[in-house]
Amino acid sequence: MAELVAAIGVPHSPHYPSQYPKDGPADTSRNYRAVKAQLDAAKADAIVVVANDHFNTFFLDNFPTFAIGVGEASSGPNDQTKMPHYDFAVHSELASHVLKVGMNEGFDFAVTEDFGVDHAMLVPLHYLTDELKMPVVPIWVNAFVKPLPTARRCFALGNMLKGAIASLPRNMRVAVLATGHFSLEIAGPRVDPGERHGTPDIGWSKHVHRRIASAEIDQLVAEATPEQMWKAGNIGGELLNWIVMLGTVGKAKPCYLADHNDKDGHAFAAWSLN
Amino acid sequence: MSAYQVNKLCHRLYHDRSFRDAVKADPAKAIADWPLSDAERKALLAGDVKQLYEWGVHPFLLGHASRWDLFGLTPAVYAERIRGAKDPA
Repeated sequence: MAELVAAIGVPHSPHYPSQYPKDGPADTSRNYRAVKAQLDAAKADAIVVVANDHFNTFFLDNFPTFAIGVGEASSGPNDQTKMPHYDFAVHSELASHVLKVGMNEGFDFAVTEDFGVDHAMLVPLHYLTDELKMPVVPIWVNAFVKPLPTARRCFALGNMLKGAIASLPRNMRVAVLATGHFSLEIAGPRVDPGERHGTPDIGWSKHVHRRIASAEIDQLVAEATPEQMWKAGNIGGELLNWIVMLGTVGKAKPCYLADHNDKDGHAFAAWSLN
Repeated sequence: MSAYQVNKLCHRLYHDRSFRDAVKADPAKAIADWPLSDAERKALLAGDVKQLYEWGVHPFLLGHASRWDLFGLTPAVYAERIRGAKDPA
């Protein structure tokens, strides 16, 4: 049976790769390296990535609440992120199994067999893997087209994902990676003067960070209302990606959690689960 | 008013370079065939992102215009106009 060996949460801002080299001295580079060390130690054979598309894989003609990629391979970034291009394998056996278990348990994924992925998946994978040789299972969560799925539903999806990994009849090690911010506004009314972005609710981001540090996930799920996430920015809903991942973690506390600062509405965290 | 066609147009700006170049060269001509309302067309050509946001255009799509200073929207102008816009109902 497959084994869930690590869970990871990191931000995915598209400007990082051009601004922060993997081996650079900035906090962003250092935090990705610290998380990568935890992922390396877990010796995962495949990685499930939970992230939100930004109208690059999907559009409003058919925008999924939850989607899963089940093809053999993918590539990206399919947006204009300045970073290396990657062609990578999809772990289609694990992806198809998660799809099947999900359907049986009432999670009606949209399914794509032919897709590219944007910075939300590839920026973290760029920093956290060695040339993306590890096969990927992409899961998308709608984090920015109202109405969003509820935090409760996302947490339940994480619970399902944990069970699906455990029931895959193959001896392999699996990691789960969630990406995104807790507070961030892009190109909306709450950007900073002269900027494309703002952090409307740093207090909420710090609060989420404290809940994660203390493994108070039930409370976090109850507090992550649509109103609160929107107050935290027009992509405050990216917390939902994290909540899916937290649904796979159980009561474990993170083995790595970077200190929160006063300007970035995000976190870098890792859980060792085996 | 549905903002769908404006959303679609902004999506095209980001993903279709030839359309983007056409908008840069002659905005009114480039969007002439798009099925926008008169008010949407006027707001777009004026770079009135506050109004377009309030009609429900998604900020991630609207923001693409400022990546290439389209419709007069430098990043600074875009930020000045979008700040304080009201969320659509």
